[in-house]
Amino acid sequence: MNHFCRQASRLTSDRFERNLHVGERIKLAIHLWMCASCRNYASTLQVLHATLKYMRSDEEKKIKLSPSRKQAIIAQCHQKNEGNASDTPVNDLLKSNPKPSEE
Amino acid sequence: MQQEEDISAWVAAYSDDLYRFARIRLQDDDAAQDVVQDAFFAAWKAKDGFKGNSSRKTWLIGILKHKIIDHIRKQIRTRKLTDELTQDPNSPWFNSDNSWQDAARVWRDSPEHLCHDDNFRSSLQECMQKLPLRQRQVFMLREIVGEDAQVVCNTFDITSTNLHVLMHRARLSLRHCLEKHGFGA
Repeated sequence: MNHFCRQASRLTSDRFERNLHVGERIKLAIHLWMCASCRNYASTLQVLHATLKYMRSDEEKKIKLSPSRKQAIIAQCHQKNEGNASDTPVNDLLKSNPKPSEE
Repeated sequence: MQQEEDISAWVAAYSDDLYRFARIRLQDDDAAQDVVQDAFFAAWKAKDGFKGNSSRKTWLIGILKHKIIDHIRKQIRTRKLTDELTQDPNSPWFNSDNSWQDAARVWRDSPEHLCHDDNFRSSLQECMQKLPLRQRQVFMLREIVGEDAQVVCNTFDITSTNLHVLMHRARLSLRHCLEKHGFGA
């Protein structure tokens, strides 16, 4: 007998990435109803997904750039000031400013 | 609009935000610091190009994004990661009849609890490190940064099907690895 678990695991993951087609949704729902292993896997992925989401906001607050690196940036830019400023290819990139205005 | 042309003021005002943005995406302290420095330097050289039709922070983040993508692409080129997509590491998880080799267990801990559990955090870190590089980076961007799927595809120059495959494999590996670390009893 050929099982549907391999495909079900893929669909379970894909649910986080895209909208499943109606046929896929029905097949998956029926399989999850019958198969405890796949049901456990699906609930595990939900827990993992939600946990990572919580961690995201938590982690972000703690991240700070080291003072020595801040000094290094300032020093590098001052050095540039004394030399010849501007006119690098990056200028082209910077001319197109993103739209939203916050100031 | 006021033009503040002092690099110290820029760094004081925006460097932590930029570093946070890069650090979360690259998950690598040194690389994140380097791209932030590169971004500030590029911005400073091109400060006359700033038109003021977006906030300065938005403008700096825009430059930083390009630096981050450059960094990731360079990494992909040097490590020749293309073969990750052609191998089929699915087989360790399934028998030849497509049933589970090692059935998933139920996780009883809540996400709120897990996210403050130091054991879980260190296990997750360890399990993430075991993923192949590109799988790890893609998974990080999608699940930890919460980046849009299309942006991830563009960054890595992959199709959305490639993205789904990488995410699927990362999830299979992480689930297995985390259960081996004792989660889901």
